[in-house]
Amino acid sequence: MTNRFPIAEGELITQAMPKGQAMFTRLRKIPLSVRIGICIVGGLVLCAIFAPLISADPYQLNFANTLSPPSLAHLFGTDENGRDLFARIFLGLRLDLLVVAFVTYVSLPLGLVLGAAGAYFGGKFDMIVARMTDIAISFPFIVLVIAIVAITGPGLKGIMIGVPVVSWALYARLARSEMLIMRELSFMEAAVVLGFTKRRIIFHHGIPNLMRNCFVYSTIDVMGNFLLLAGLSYLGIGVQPPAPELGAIIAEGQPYLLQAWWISTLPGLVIVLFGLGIGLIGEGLSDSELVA
Amino acid sequence: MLRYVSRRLLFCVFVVWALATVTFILVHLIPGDPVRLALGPRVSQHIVNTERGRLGLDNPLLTQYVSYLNMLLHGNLGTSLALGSSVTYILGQRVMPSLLLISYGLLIAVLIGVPLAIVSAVRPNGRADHGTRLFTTFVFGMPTFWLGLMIALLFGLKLNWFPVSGYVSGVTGLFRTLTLPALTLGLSLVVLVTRSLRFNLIQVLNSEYIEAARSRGIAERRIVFIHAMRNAVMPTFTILSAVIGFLIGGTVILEQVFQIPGVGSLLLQAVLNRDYSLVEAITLIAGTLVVAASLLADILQAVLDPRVRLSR
Amino acid sequence: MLLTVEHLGIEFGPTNSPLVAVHDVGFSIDSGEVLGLVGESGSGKSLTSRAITKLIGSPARIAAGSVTFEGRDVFKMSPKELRSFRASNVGMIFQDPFTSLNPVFRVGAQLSETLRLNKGIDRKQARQRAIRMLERVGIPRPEQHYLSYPHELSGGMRQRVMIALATAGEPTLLVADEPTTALDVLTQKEILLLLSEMRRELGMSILLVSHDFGVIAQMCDRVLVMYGGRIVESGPVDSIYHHPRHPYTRGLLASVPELESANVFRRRAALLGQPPELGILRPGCVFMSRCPHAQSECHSVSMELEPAGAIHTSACPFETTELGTRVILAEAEVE
Repeated sequence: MTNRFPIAEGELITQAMPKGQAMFTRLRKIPLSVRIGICIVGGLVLCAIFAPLISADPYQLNFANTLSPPSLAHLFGTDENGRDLFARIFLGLRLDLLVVAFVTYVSLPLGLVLGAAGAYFGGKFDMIVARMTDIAISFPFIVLVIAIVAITGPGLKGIMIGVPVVSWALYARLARSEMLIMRELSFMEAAVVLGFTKRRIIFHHGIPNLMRNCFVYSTIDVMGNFLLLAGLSYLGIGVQPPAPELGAIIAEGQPYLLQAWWISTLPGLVIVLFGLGIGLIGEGLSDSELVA
Repeated sequence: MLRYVSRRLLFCVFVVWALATVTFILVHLIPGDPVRLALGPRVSQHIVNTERGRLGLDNPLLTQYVSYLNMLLHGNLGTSLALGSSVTYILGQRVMPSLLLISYGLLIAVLIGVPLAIVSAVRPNGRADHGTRLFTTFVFGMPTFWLGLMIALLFGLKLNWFPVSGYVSGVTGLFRTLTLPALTLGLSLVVLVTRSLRFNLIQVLNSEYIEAARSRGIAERRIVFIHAMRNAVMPTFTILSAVIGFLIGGTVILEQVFQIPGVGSLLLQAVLNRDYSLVEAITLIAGTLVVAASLLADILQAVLDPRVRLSR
Repeated sequence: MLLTVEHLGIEFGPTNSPLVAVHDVGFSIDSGEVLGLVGESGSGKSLTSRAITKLIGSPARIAAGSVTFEGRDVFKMSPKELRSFRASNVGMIFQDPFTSLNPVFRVGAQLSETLRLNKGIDRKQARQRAIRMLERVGIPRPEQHYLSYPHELSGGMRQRVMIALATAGEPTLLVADEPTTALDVLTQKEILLLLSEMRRELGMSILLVSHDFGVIAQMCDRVLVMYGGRIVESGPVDSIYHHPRHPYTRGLLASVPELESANVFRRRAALLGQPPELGILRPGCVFMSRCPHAQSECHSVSMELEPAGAIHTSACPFETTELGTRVILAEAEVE
């Protein structure tokens, strides 16, 4: 094994294990679809942050102007209580994005570390992690979250608890399978030979490479969680009124579907647009990095 | 082969048991008195206490757990406190619409998704492929309930081809009332099906044995439909449990949108009514179905793929 | 002339600046002859062999040239004609017998399918004929193995099945792309023997593609040496083996390990470096960067096989000897 490292040991490690570099080398040549995706998502996020500041008050009731179609005064029209829909939608988007970001990016590191650790250490620990992962993945997601909501009562609490309970497993599985392969690569063995602690090997060397895959997957997960949140709010057990949320707004518009189609349609379009952006980013990332 | 199946079966049983335990724990985490919550504030404490005694809710937790498992093993899913009858009976009444909706949706997804996948895979990066990709990226972002509403708006309210709510049995009744929700379900599912099948099909079509078959002058159509599909379908089955999970979730939502009296809307009602035994039972069943689907997928794979069959 | 290939060009990538994999390749095969195509991986030999039956799929494409088989232009055939051509005139065997057989179908079924396609016979007849073919290619207990799956057979047996499949239509030309590369040496010999027998039995010509000069020497009447997508030398196998003219051929032969006491003075030019990557067409000799005898005139070499009409030709217009002296070659045949 010694003849594998003819050069200074420190040199080999930095060469063979470009931690983080794996992810950022490609940033220079970002494909067009990803750029478009980032524009879309970025645009929406900006609107979400700033819109409530520049548009009308989303909580302002105005019974003189209910169910009016989109106009210059109200870009997206008003709802059955006369509230400006544009403001409501983007305030709702802001809320959605915050919750979804929290939920997704809490699950990611949790699953990533567990999966990587399990794969690296192997043995009983790995078996337990693998079994738990399998079980968590088998659970029908929405039903479980609904069940948790049944306990916590309607509201965000249930979602913020319920989703990570299952979500981490998807990242764990991803990280685990990648780590199983990576474990055998020479730079990992080199790190062992050099006497790095297992913790350093996993966190410092292994995980940055695993992150790439997990991040790509997180784009799908973000969308999935977004849809879940909207769905639950639509059903009435997610975000509670009067807090605006895209799914809830859609539900509010349902009785007026024929006369005031914009109440239900426009929030959905915003979601679709967001999904398009996220989808483009995810696909662009995966096309350029991985096989598919 | 038998050993493989029994091993998987054992794992499934284990998962179902874990599910049951988790739902049991969840339900017993509820603050407050479930009986009181279910029966409402007006009922006298005496009646509440009687119910509690009857249900054994004052026994130690372990005893309750054991009797719960015992009940399950005998097929007894408990009693619905809010509705007053056995869960099994209630479910029995509502299971049919949901099953039909799921099957119909799955059928539509396959009818649309498989041809799309084939057309895309045969000419990657061609027009059909790009069109399909665009289509799936759009639908990917559509919340199921929103898509349902839009479809209801277009085909139901504006064009008046189908009713937008309700459920009527009988062949014509089912066709009329279930088509719109099934269409919604199917379209959402198409994304999963098409992506997976297309990917596998492309891989297969690029393999050497397909090239070898072409070199023997076998017609392209036969190559795609018989030589390639047989190999591509197998890895697609691995998403079967994801599909079932998606279908179940979709049904829960769509039954609300289209007012269909199935298990999905039942679940929702149960949650709002704090009817814990019902929620527990439905969660358990849904979970079992997903696990069963993954077992089915594994078995199918073993049956269809001679390499797996013989090595196990 | 059974098969004539002229000015064949195969490329990848954008049409305005293509990556050239094969350029201006031409050769012919007569009835009953065995032509070898030798070169390293990446030399374009596999692509060339596939072009004969127009088996080039995206991302590669045929950019130029023609293939004429028994007077018919292959590239101009309709899809139906092409299929029939592939089924009954030309057979092809591939390098890896494991990945060349459909893993989910039984071996016998795959064979029957080809037979029924070709001969229009019914299932029962096809089955019987398939069993006989399995026997013919040396598979023991053919009725049993008719029901086997590819992964149940050894590499040698799989390759025999491949040969059966390829010769089912009784073709006049067999294209063999590295048929023995994936096999061990003993099996290699058996397969080559089988190929010779079948060739005699069916009166086939063979185009044998390989990077192994030993295999080529064993089987072929004539040889083409390919490098970087071009033909650099062509001639009878003995002539090329004993009197290689192109520096690449010499290097190739020198790198064949010999068990017999080597004539050390004859073979000293070992090959260093890597074959060229796929790239745009460049002027000059394609072997220049690796050639131990390269000089400035090599930039303007036209890569044509000179002299025309000779039996043994080479693309290197310079006469190079082991001792490194240079003589510009006048019109002369080397023998």
